[in-house]
Amino acid sequence: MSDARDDGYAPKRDPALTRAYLETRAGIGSSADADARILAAAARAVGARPQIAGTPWQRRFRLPMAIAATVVLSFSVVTLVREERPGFESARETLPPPSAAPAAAPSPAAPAAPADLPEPPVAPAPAAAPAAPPVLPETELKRKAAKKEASVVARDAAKDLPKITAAPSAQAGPQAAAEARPETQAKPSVLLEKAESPLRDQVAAAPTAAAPSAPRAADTSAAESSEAKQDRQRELRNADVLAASKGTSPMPAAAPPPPLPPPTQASTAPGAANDALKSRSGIGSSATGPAGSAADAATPEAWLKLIRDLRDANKLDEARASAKRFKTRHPDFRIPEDLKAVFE
Amino acid sequence: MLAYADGDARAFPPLYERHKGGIYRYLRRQLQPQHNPAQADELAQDVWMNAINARERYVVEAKFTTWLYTIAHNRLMDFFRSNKVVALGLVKSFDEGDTGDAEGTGDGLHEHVAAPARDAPESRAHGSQVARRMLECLGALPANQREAFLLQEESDLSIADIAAACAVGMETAKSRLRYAMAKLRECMKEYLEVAA
Repeated sequence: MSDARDDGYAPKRDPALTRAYLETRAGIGSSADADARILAAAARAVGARPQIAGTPWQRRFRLPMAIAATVVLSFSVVTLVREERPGFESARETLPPPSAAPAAAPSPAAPAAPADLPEPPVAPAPAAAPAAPPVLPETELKRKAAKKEASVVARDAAKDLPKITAAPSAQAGPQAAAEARPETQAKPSVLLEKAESPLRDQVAAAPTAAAPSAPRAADTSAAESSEAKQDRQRELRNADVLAASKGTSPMPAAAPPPPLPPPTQASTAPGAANDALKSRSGIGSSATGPAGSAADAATPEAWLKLIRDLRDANKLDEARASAKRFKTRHPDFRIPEDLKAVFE
Repeated sequence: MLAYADGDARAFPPLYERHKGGIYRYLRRQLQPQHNPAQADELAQDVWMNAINARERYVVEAKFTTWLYTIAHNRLMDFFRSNKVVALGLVKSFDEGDTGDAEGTGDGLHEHVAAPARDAPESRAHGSQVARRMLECLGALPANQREAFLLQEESDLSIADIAAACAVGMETAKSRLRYAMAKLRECMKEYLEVAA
């Protein structure tokens, strides 16, 4: 629009006139209020699009960085989900279809199936927990955590082991089952095994004393309920106590099933029974062994019977001490009439 | 202006600081003495608001100064039309067109002139006298000639830009400016000789 050629014919600016005009400019200007209004209006006009604060570098890379962060986050989430799902699916793949697997056969992958799966296999679940003790309330949380851990173990087992067929070998079955068994399911059973193995070995005559081992668990009916198993465990303990009190067998206090010591004068049957009682009730020994712990952790009925036996054996101090511990452990349990004298 | 039109609010204040004085003085010198300075403020605000609202239509075809003074000229014409200020000749020349030598009947701009900042009192007094005389001479100019002179002095626009801002031909703008300068020299003769 400006044309220098045309301006060449234009009148030149007169410096004297310019100087004279500059004299008139002093002190002439718009008011501060008008300035403020105009600037505010200008800011409002573009206020709909807020300016991004920060340095030009930040403004330039803000959007790409946001996109990159979103992509990385999404990728991480997807990767995590995919890491979880293949394990889940591979565990499912290793499971034989319920129709193909015999219900009684202990499938190694069966106990490994996480309990929180939407479709848990029906038949192997009861067979997987023949030796499961009664669920203790305090282990509820641990059990849930163990289920997750079991799923991880199962996934690892599924990766390491060859594809499990519908009929696993008899040796691999219990082993894999033991590996894949959740911690809280395996742990109490092991403890119980340790605690009761001396008794179980020596009270072989009792018909209900046989604990279901893994091969026997395979023969156990799948429909056997856990309550029936709990009753059986309870009966087993009662039988142990009865056998101990009647002196049918001498019981070593703690050791796992050693060869029976030759009967000596000191370890006659009643004496051995008393030793067994002591060891199981935790009396007379500063360190309570596994057997004593098991006895204390047994059902209150069994414990009361133990106290009753102590009383009948004229061990009143021990009976009272045991009663005191019983009261501490089971404060709300109703005390039978015949034992109230001991408890008082 | 392009940055401001693009949404950068921080680009406007420097622009405003650079041109607000020229726009205000251009408007105030063109108003008749009976118009108070508040009207010049109002007109200046209108000019800037029009510029703000028209920011997205701004294209780099001319200098921003030319675009801004075109807005100012148009706003002044609207003001003169609405106030029936036809006697100035400015509106007439704008509406009917002229050849550049249309004589207006401009009145003198009798306004208070602040004393320029000078060190010596004599210089200050002389400067004040020159300013007062200059304003009288400007007021004596026809409005369209005064406008050409003001546009050249306030915004340093070229003849072509003055012609564009005033919506007249180049020759008209050149003629107006030549007449204006000749009259001012004659009017300010004694002061210019003293200064020389």
